[in-house]
Amino acid sequence: MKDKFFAIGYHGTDARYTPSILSGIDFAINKGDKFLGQGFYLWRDSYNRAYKWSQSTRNFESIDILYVKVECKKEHVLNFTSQSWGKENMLLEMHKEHFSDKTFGEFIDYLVYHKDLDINMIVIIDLTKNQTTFNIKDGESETNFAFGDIQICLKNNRPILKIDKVA
Amino acid sequence: MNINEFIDKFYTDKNYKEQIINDLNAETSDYTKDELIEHNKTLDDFHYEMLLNRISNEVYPKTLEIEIEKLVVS
Repeated sequence: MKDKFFAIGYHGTDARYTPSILSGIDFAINKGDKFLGQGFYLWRDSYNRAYKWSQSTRNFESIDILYVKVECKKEHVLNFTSQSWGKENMLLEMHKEHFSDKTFGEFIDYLVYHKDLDINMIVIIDLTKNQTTFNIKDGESETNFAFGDIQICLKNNRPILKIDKVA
Repeated sequence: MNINEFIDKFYTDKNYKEQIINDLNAETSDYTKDELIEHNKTLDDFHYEMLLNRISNEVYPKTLEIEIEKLVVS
């Protein structure tokens, strides 16, 4: 258990595309953003964020939300939501030193899709705006809480245990 | 190959490193030079915060202080 990453994620799509996604995701055609690259994107534990993204960002006419259960060994995950950065830090440094004429996403995708590097997913916290943290003081100690959703970019179908349309 | 094996090989096998650099440099980015400059600036800020956060959590403080100094200078 301790060496695995588990998550439930939600993916919003136009209802026309649901049958083809459920029959097999084509990761090659899913162009992504500059940081996470191409892949199949999920909002972790957030049906609402998936729905809102489909509605306001993509303006899909008829929205379907897909439920996806994933499980993966941590050694195959780039997890930017934890403070135990190791390989994540090293890859950022490698990009900066040698590959800064590509985006980080392009760099990672090249390694995944052309050099068979086992990165199955990238995980990052997506805040809707800059200041979404607030400080709670309790005597001498203090804690910064934040609100935001976690975005997961799946690079292949290996971590997918289950995928289905939310009824 | 898993991620840690790749990182080790990249930094210990000179031929492998050169091959990766040459192969990737042969690819063209989908983004403009200005977009890449802005992207790299954001990545630097993100990386800086990562390192700062690790120092504040007292993980490898000495080596990371040096890394941050390098980042600030560059």
